Amino acid sequence: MRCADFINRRFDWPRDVSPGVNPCVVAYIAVSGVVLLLLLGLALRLAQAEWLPMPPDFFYEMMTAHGVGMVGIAGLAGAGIMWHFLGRYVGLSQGILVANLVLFLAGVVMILAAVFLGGFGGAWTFLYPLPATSGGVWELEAAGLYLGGLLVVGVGFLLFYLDAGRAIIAEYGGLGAALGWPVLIGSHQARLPEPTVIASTMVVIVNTLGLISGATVLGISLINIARPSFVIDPLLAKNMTYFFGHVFINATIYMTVIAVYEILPGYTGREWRASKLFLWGWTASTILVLIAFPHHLLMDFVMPRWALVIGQIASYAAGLPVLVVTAYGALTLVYRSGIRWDAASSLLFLSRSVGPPASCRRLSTPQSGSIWSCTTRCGCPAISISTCCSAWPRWCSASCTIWGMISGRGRACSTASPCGSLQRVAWVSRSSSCTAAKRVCRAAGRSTSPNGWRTTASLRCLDAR
Amino acid sequence: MPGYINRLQYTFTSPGTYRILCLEYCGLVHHQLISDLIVKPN
Repeated sequence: MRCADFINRRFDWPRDVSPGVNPCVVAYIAVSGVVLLLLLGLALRLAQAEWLPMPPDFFYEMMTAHGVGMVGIAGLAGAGIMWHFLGRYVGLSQGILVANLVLFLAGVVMILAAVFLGGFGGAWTFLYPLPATSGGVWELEAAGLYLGGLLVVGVGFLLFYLDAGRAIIAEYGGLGAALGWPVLIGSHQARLPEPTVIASTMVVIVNTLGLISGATVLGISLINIARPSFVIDPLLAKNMTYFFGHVFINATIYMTVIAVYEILPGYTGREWRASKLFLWGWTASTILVLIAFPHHLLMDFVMPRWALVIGQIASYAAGLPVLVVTAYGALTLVYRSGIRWDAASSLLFLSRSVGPPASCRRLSTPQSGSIWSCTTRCGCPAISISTCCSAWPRWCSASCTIWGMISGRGRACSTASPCGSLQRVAWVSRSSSCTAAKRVCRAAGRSTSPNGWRTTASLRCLDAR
Repeated sequence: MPGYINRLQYTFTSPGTYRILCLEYCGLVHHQLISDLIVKPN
């Protein structure tokens, strides 16, 4: 059973009023939000300030849950964003999306049980050999349950990124091609990948490597608990742990920037095309993110000096290339676009650059007169409710329909299509946008998709009258 | 870091009492692993 079917049946999710929004993606974001609301970090700060009495063992249990929880839910929310937008360009597996969420939740249950029932307080870093050498503070079973839970979460994410890599390779011919390397070396026939695909490819590369490293050290630690005679160099284990941790939490930033690449064009009515500078920037950040992790080991003077120097330089430089090309792209997209600032567009813009506070952009075309371009996800022509589009797609879509009835346009359609920006162009340029969008999609050869949900949901046109 | 000894050379330029803190999370008494280093003038 597909995730969408399951959730629709279980929770009576109204598909028709939220076209194009996969309920599983909503589940990813909702789980992340719930975990954030636990406010463990606030409790820890209150304890440090001695405003909240907390014994050391409970403090370190909370610290462990908080650390692993924040890393995990940031990764989950980022993965939801990436799947939602990357799915416009490649055929992602719905089953893997569900499997990752199920494994994540199962792992969370194991981790919470290990921490709050078993008393495990070895921090999210689970630095070898601490899990097995607590001095009797927690049982080995608790340590095993924690490491096992983290391994389950990691396996889910690894499946997720492997599937994304598979889908990208199937569509673009390789990860290098999806990073735009053929374009960089001057091939004129090379296909220019979309910013979302480039960012996703970067994340697939770094996170696959990072998760393999993390799963390996977790497996070794688990064996060490079961067979203490099985040992590993603690410095090597620490390197592997921080390579995984550094890469994984960095990747969340690069997954969420996809939302900027996809939603800001909807506000401005301009397509975000990757330039050569953009391609260089993402390739540079890919490499730098992979080699920056030794800055977490600056207190380990036994580390090779060259590794610490490279790590320190790379840690400062890693975010710069993507920051520069994204901030520059955002500025050129927004400049004189007529964008109206609201909470959603402002936060998207501020997340990558600095600017004034926007809503949907009003577009005037000879064919359609004045229409409103909303976010590409909701994409309702004729109404300006971008914030609601982002936060409450159900309300947005219903409003689109109501507006269509009032205005006489009588048409509402989702733009969350496999052809992405192409459809948006079709959308805003003609009042008969659904038909035009379908035509453009077919011309792009992507009117059909192995993902039935996306195809049926995103290309459905609703006659409101 | 089990099995390793981290060596650091540092020349203090002013006398005083300096605090030494455990740099690696090592368990439930991590925050209590504190010591003092007293630097006296020549």
